[in-house]
Amino acid sequence: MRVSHVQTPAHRTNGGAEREVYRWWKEEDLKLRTHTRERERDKEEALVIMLHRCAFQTIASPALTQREVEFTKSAWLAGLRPDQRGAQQLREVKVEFPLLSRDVVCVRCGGTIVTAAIACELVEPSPYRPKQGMLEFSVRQPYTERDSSAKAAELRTLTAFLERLIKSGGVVDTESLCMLPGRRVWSVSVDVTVLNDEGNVTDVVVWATVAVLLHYRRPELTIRGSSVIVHPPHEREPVPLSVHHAPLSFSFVVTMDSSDRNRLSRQHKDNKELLEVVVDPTVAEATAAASSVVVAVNAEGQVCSVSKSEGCCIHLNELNHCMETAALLAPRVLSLIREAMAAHDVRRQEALQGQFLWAQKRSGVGRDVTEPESTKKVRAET
Amino acid sequence: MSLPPATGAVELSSFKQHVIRLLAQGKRLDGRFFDAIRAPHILHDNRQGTKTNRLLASTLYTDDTGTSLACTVTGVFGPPPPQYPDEGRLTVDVTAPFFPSYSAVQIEGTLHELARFARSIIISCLDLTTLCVISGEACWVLSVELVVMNADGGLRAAVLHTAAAALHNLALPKARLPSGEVVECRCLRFHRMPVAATIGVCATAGELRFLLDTNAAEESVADGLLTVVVDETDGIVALVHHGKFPLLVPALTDAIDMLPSRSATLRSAIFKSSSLAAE
Repeated sequence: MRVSHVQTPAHRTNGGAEREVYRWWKEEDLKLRTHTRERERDKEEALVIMLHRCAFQTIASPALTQREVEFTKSAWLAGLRPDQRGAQQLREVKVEFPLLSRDVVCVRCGGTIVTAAIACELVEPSPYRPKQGMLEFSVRQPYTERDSSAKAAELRTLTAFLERLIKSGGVVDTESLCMLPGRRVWSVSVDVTVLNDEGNVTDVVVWATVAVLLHYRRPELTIRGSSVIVHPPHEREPVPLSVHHAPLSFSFVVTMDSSDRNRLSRQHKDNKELLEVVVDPTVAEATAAASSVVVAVNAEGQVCSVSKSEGCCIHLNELNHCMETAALLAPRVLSLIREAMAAHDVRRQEALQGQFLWAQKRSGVGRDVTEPESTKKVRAET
Repeated sequence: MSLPPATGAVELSSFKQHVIRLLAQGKRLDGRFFDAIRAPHILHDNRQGTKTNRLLASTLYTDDTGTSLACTVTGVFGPPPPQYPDEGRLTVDVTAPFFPSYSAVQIEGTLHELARFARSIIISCLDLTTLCVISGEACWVLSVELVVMNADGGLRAAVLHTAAAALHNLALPKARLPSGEVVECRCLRFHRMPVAATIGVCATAGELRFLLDTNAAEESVADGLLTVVVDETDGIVALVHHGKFPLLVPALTDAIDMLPSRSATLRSAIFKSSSLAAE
């Protein structure tokens, strides 16, 4: 009995130790949980800050748009533009062909960047038009959260405008794309991507399309009977497309209605002239304007297309002013495109020469063979 | 755009050659002068008893050579567009169920562009804030449905005239919102009355000639097409020009100037019918 009585305290001691261990474990668990909760709080705070910053930076609030519109209108009343350009002055225009191939062009006008890519393929023609090739256009733009749902409709309208201007306008001779009537014609597709939109996307899209059509070369064909041989570029020189004329479009915005202009001119009796028609509008100017006109002219000053759809009325003198300004600006943009094409040709020639330089050096490996003069010159120079 | 002409049993290319020969001789297919307009006729359906709750107006557009368009305007209440909470909503839809053609996709594209064109001009000339009932919550939603029953060129002008005649002096009836509020009767009115015409450009033997109010045959052979919309002050509401023949600025100005001298006749034919119907 004593032994059993002695064992009982031992058992009790064991129970206490177990309890102490359990308590210790519980405390550790609580500490860990508290630490995890603190980490979660830090993450939540970081997320809140990030969301707040993103929301503040990206979404343009209506109040901000309203301030921009008011500032733009005040600038127009003072005879100025918000970015200090003249009324008939374009933003800085850059045309470049970024790849060595001739089928990609990148056009920038200020902050608006548009890329156009062209591809052609031998296909069977439509049975109703067996002697005409095919021209297809598509305009795409990566969407951001600030774009409204009307963006898709705008891009569709832009695609329709391109088709009317270039396909119906007879810019590319579709009959020259016919190789075998009824069996083989070229199908040319131009894919335009708007990378950044800071106003005046219509003009830049048309410039990019015209530049890529002027610069592209399709493969040479040899036709014997019913067999068609497509020659790769290293066998025969590719053939340019048959482009009749190069229409370049220019967007104009009319700042305010004629009645508003008359009323304001009475109020402001200063000698300052109000800006009436403005070329190459930015997003703020397009939002603040009363109406817009798109004029497409070619290098000879002939009007290929005019489009004026929404907004207030314009009069014939304003329309004449738009067309004459476009006729002045078109040769400059076309010369920029020609310069970019020439620079790209020079770059391609240099790359081609660089590619074949090793062959000239390698031809002097055998000592028993007489060295050509070009290799001797190269060695002498080195 | 223009739909292909219905030539019946005559081959299309032969028909085009015939039209080109006539134009070279200074004649048109229907005997008109080069600067003559086909007079439109607008019929209104004013029987109050037969109108359903949603049907607000019904018009029929015809002219002398058989172009025929029917237009119905229906109105319901709906939420305003989020970008413009103080304005109503207006939708235009154009269908051509009786027109046989080999290219349904092309026809659909043409009709979509016609609807877009008419809607943009009507929005320019009509104050959409009249359709607002409660700002940001409720507005009138007008649906203009046009059916092209017969087309003979000048479709942009015909579609615009039909829709404008239906919407001018349109009486929005007294109605009750689902919340129980009563909306009073009000009248739509154009602050600018647009009239349109299609002008064709023919370059025969190096000489430019302009055809006012072209029909389908002339549109199929014309080198350029120009659609001009003007208002009562001869301001240009809209302008669409494209074609294979680029024009110089004076030629384009001369083409645009053809319409204002005849816009009064067109305006009286279209909007006077509306005023007579309203009486």
